[in-house]
Amino acid sequence: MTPSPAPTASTGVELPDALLCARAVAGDQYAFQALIRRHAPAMRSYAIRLTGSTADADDVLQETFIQAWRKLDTLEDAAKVRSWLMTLTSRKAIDLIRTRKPNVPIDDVAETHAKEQTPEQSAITGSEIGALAKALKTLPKQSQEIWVMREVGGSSYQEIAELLDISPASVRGKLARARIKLVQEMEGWDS
Amino acid sequence: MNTHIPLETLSNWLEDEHSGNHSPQHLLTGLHIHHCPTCTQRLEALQRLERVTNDLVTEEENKQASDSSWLDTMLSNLVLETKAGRSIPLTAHHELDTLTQTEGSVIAAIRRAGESLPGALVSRCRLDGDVEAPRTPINVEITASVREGSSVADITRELRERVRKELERISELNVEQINITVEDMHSFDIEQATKNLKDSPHAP
Ligand SMILES: [Zn+2]
Repeated sequence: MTPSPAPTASTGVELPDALLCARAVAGDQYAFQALIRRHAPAMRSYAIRLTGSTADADDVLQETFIQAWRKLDTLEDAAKVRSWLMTLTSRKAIDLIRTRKPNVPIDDVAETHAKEQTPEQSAITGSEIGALAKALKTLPKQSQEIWVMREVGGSSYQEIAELLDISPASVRGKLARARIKLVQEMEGWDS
Repeated sequence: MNTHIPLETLSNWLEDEHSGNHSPQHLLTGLHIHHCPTCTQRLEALQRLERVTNDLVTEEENKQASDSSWLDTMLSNLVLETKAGRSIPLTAHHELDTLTQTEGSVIAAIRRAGESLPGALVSRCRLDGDVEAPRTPINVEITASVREGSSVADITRELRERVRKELERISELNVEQINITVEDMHSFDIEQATKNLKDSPHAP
């Protein structure tokens, strides 16, 4: 199959997630692929943030797609399919991080940032995002994971707690401290 | 006002503010912030962080969406197992052959035949009865959606006809009844977009 631009529905209609989910559950692979197409960019940028590597993120996504296809019938509310997919992505990514050898080289996600700004984006926004990306790297590894799961993945404290095997209160505390550290890094705050 | 709100509390306060937690403690803290320039400044810095966080998340997602060649590659390599369901026996032309077709392939054929009809979408389809025993009478249960403005009676009749013909063509099932439940109405646009899914260059 040759890659080509994503299909824009000729009628200009965005099929609702609920319709795509129902058809996918009934065995329609086309509907499933359309659903994946819609949410994959968010899943991939999340997986890259979480694993720190594009190659690892793609492995995570492959597995997540297959699992999503198998388990889609367990999703109770089709309106929540995006957060459901993000949760599956979290699980697969955390599994991968935990089994990874300690010295695997990791792409520098933050470094690529400044270069890939589109011209329309204001210099100020760009530099703020760049500063945040840089500040993130100063966080302890677990705090980074918690921050990414919460802010990028949209996970609840409970979900994060279960995945990292710590208490929800501890997640909340670490997240608050991570945010303070980020502000301190970015704005030269004195604590 | 010489003790300020600890930073961690301030950060949690902002989170509670979003989630709508308005406990007395929360309101008291809010009151302090309101009257305290230092805590207000710190809160504003945390709010700026929230905004930049959103910018970063949006930008990274847009970046992935803008060049989706990675996704094309990934989807073209994606092998999804079809839900095979039961095994339906077919008459063998040679006595040593054992031929079967899967329930999943029959249901897919029913869906295709049904949706070849303008005005109809097949939501679900089920084969009711012991399809694994040759010649046993079975029923086909279809849940369909009909386009707004079309006649439900006409669509239902034609849908039943197309499905019956297709089943005669591709299977040896002893179909007694084809029951169609119309559960939904849909717009012309939704039907087009749904049927276009199959014609997309990315279709599996
Ligand atoms: Zn204060």
